[in-house]
Amino acid sequence: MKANHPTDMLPAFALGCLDPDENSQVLEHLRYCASCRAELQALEEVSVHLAYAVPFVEPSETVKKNLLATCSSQRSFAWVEKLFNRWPRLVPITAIASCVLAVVFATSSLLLLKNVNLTQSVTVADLQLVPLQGAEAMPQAIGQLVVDAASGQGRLLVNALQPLAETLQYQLWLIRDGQRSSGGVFSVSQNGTADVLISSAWPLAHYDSVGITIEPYGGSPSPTGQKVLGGKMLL
Amino acid sequence: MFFSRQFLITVFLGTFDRGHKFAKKMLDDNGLVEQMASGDEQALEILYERYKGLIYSLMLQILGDHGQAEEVTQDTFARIWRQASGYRTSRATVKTWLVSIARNRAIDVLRKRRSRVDENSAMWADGVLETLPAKGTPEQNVEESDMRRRVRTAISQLPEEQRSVLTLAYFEGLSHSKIAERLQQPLGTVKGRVRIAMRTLQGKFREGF
Repeated sequence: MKANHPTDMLPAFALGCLDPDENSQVLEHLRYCASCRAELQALEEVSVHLAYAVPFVEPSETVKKNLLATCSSQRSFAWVEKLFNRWPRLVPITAIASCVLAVVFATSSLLLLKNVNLTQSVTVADLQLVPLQGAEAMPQAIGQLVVDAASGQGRLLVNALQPLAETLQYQLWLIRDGQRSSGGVFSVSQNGTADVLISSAWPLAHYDSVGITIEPYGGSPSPTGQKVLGGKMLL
Repeated sequence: MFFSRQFLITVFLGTFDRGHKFAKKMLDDNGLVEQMASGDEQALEILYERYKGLIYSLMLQILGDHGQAEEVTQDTFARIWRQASGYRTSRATVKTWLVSIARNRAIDVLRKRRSRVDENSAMWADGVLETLPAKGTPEQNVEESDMRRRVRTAISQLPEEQRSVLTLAYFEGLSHSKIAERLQQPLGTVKGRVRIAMRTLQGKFREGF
């Protein structure tokens, strides 16, 4: 190892094969060392080139058809993301407004239900909010999951997370019985805010807790870096 | 004229649309992601056509199952679509971004499943190059074939013991200690082989690309 730079570990880091303790050391170092970040980028290119060394096969046309259908349905959310990227301060304001609206809707629905003599059960579609607390590494950070109870899908809103070096990103982990699945990777604005559409194969109520860690750019198959936010689902 | 107004409009819009799509095909990857960030599905389609073979081939090698490989390929491009507005060119190339997301997802699926579906181990292609479908300009096609040839040659020139640790790390996402356990080799030896293999390839790619 050269001086304090983890030069010897960077090839394995780019390949994703360091053991967890070494991985954390490298991640921590990369937060502050521009020369190692540049070195890592070059090694990541090597890792990408390796993909050209597998036998070439094309996917069926169904993949493209399904992809375009999925993305068309998500397009309606694109303007919201664009708005949040342009004015990041809207993220916490929207989060607070969503909370207030959720409470107002819930209260008005309850009042309505009290006044109307219903003979059949009614399900009030609502938003469920899961608060996230900053971990030891970033105690000032806060976040919230906004979950649509009907579809089980949701968004993650965060504030006061430290902007990361260019080779790093935050990654959301959805946890059930100790098993972690990635819910998406994201970066934050200069103000430390982000609004992320959570990617999950299951409704979010399926999971018992969530966590956010610092990972190499593009994310990791399982958590390797420091935890910065976390919370219990209780949905 | 004998053509109806509706017919002429359709022909005009069709020509305009094809011209527009043709112009987009000329965009580089960063330009396409920029277009995707503003909700342009045609840009996604072009990016998909450009990299579907690369991503799917890798997913199939990692997972050994066509259905799951297709699922992860679709999921990878859907993630790129959702995260397009957050992409910064200074962080990584679009190709690096795509391959890292895809590989991470595939290894995640593989770990949950504990092993590949087919029992044959993933492997690097042999020296024979496949005929690739024409998907870009003739120059781009030649460039891609050339890259495949150079990468495969570089890997085939690695000593077998380095190639085997690289295979376990790249296709199975195994850590140093898991590779040492699997190959029954000392941990330090495995670490050294991974490091030397990557540095050798880096040197060869730097000369060749």
